[in-house]
Amino acid sequence: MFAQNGGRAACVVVLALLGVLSILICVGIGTVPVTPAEVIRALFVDDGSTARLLVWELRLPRVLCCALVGICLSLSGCILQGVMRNHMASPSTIGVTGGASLVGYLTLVVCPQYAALLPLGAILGAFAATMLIYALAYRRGASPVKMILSGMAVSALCGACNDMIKLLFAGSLGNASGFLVGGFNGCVWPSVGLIAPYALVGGVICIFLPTGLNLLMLGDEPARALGLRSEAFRFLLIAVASILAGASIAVAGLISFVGLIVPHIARLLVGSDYRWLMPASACLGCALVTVCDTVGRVILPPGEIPAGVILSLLGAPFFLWLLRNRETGGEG
Amino acid sequence: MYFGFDRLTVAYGRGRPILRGLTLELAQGEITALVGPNGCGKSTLLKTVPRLLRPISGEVIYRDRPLRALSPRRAAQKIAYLGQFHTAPGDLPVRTLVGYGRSPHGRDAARDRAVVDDALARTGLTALADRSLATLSGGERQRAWIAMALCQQPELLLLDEPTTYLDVGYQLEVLELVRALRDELGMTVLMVLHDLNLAARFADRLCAMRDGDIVADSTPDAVLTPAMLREVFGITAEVHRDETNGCPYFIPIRNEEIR
Repeated sequence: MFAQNGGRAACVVVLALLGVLSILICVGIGTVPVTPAEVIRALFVDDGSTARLLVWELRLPRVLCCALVGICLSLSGCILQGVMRNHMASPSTIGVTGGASLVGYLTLVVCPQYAALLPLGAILGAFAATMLIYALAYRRGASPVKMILSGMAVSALCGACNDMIKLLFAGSLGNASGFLVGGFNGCVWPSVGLIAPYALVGGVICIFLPTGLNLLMLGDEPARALGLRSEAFRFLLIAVASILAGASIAVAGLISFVGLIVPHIARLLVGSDYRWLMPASACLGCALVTVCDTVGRVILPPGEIPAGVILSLLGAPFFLWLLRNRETGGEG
Repeated sequence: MYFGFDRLTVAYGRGRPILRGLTLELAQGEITALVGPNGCGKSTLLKTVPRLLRPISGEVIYRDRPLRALSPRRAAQKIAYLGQFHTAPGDLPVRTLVGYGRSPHGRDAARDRAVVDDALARTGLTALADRSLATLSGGERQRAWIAMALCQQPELLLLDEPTTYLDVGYQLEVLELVRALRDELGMTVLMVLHDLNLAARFADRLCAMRDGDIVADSTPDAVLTPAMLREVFGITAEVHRDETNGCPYFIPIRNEEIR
């Protein structure tokens, strides 16, 4: 949409502002509304007021979790679509979702006393499943097609195991709805502390990835001819993507579609150049998840609709619309 | 040896070797064209240079030493390779694609810009620099990829069928560009060509391959003969002299082999 670099830069700046604004505004929205002025004051001054309690103790950690999860999932999807050279790739493609949820379920069923370690387990599960898929697809280099196929197989296997556990141990899973449905209910400051290190490390690594990702998008052959160690680089990318997505799942459970649609929308806005695509995706993911969670929080009071449900309800039709109007799929 | 292949043997998987102990030495500042029937190993030979294929035995030699002693990045500063098939996101501007050729070199914005501008000018793409790849014709697109390879500022350029899919006008244009690179920049070029007449006209040296080895290697006049055409391609042909361009050309008469 924006062909010139100036337009792309402006677009990224607007998206970044959108991300920040969505955080500030969503913190103010709820059964007890807080004005923007009160929000700003509550963020910086601990005056013991109700606004401070609402904003600082309840809403801010939740909104920050949304923002970080949105950023992590979007970056993860963005990276994976580049690695696989396939616009349909997303964290679930490389088994991140399947592996993380399997370890999550096992933790809840086998040793519920360690439920506090569930996030760490989810990250390990995501990483392990990804490496398994990589190993299965590896034969003198792991080609994207083989990875997507073995990813589907491993994901299906994990899904089957998850269904078995859900059937056999329905009782033990009763108190884990957040993990099952995908939502931010119950996000508190420690949740922010859990995802923040991964988001920070992943985000910093992401700053150094666009140049190589751009080359990889040309295909393995040209990328290697330009001096990129494509196998090693692809391994790094997959590891980073699985950690980013694993950390998100650890905090917010299974949230689908963010990793798939956010990079798509960003690509429509700023094009395929990863130097613009990655920041645009991160900002857009931040805004989208934050807004969807807030919508789910206030739309049916006093109840709540998990953000994952809202995202899928909006995401699926949007994705179908994208498929019908694909203009950026052309290759040159 | 400036650049060459020393007893190179390459196979895909456990299959029959595609290259069988092939030895070839390139002369600096010359255009060498590889010709031969489909499947004789021309592309395979080129692919060993950017390490897209690993030889079972033998070495690619660069300045008297094995090329693999250089890191992929260092090698990419000296040698550019352009494969037969390439795709890029269609919305990419020409200038961005061409600029990717700078990636093996350290970042230096002013220098990068100058090199990219020069490559665009040499390939006649200056006016199209801000267009997206999807809006280009086949010939323009091929030139954009060649411009990318030029941005590596290589000493040695490897081209795998650079004229495929191009009409005769663009074919001449691309090969004239290759000749200008040799004349103006002293570049050494090794390219695979299917059109023997174009190869004879633009190359300083013709190497004919069959079954994974070189069977003829000399000037176009010495290589493009009825005997070679019969032995390598299995055809009966007449060879004449093109006085306008000072090179031999051939007219195929009939296929002698049922392949």
